Amino acid sequence: MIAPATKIVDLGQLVRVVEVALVAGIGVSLAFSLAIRGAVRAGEHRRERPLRAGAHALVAAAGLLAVAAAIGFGVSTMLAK
Amino acid sequence: MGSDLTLYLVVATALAFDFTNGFHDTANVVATTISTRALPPRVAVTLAALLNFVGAFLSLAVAATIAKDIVDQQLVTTTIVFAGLVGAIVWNLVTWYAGLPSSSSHALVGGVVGAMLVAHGTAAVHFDGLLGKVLIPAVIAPLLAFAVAGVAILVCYRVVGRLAPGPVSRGFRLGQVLSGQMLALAHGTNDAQKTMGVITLALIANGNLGKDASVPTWVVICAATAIALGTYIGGWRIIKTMGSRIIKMDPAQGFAAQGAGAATILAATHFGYPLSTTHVISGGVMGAGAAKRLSAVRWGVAGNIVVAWMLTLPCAALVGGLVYAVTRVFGGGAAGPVVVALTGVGLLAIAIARRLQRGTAVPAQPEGTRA
Repeated sequence: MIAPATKIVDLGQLVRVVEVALVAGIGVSLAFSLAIRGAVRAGEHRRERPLRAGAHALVAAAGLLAVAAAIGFGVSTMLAK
Repeated sequence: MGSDLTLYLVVATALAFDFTNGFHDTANVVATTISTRALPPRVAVTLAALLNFVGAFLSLAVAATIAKDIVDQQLVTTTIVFAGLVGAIVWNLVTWYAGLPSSSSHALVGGVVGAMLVAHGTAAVHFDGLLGKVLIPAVIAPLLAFAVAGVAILVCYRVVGRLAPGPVSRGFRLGQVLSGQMLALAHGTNDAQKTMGVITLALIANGNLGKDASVPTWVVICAATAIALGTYIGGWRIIKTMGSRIIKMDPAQGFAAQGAGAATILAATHFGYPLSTTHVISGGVMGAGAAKRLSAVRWGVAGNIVVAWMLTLPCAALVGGLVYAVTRVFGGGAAGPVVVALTGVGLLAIAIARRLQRGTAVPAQPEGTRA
């Protein structure tokens, strides 16, 4: 006998997989894109507008940190189980 | 204790299966990185092999699913596991020859289930586990990777759209070094665990391990080594033949596709879902392509994947069941598996000898056709 569909499929687990994949996949892409944007803009403004360049460099650093944090969190979660 | 000879055969066959899994999947793991020139081929393949090895140590949830949630452990014998493995290998060879993009992971599950059905009937198979842990995630995961990659690439383009393309491409190439390694890590952790699960199942069936035993360390090391070696050796063939077969993507698309694939596989692995990694990676690549231009997607490949989804489990089960029935002709001991193994090795030797006589190379595996 096969159990009812709700018992067969752990919907909570599946939803969690979907959530994590969406947040990690899109979040890391967003953070890395912001890092690239910040780095490119910082390079463009380096001579004429050093303050603005500094702000863009901060955005780039924050983006890279977010990517590193996401990867670190993901790997540590895998290892913790 | 059961037959140790059959157990040795199972371990050797499982590791051979793991090796071929890595061999076939190198293309999926490194193709995007190489095609966008994010890394030189040699470096990409070497890093992928290393990360495959490391990934195998990350988690054991998928191995536990294979060992406990799909068939009744108490009724499993080493001959059943052997027949299941042979069923998976035979089906993989048939589909490889026919150019059908099948999943090694689904073939493995199908082979073991088929052998179990012939040996003990339907009561010995956990159909709820099969449906909930294998079939439904098999459908959801590639669609999820498709959606994640599609949205991710749109986000990337939105953020960097007005910038000079040169620096942006260089940036995403750097990002691909990271996303490619994460994909190799994810591939290693999900795929190597399937072999670990099968070997553990055989050790339990043979009486070497208790019912609730965890995966022994030597099994983890052997499976990690086999898949890493397969990835490394398979990579050199990919490098030689990649010129005409790699999908052209820009670095941002490659980054989004690899990131989506890695995120989906790692999330599913954490909860013990044995996925077809090839289908997930193909889903990511198609998603990143479709978001830019629908015609960029090879919809024919997508159609073949759907056909493979439907065929692989039942066909591998049929072959697994057939192999089990053949082994039973020689009685309940190790004679049946030995005869099947010798026959298989003999047929393989004849096929290789014929190829060598004709002087033609073995046809290259089309990209995105294995898991």
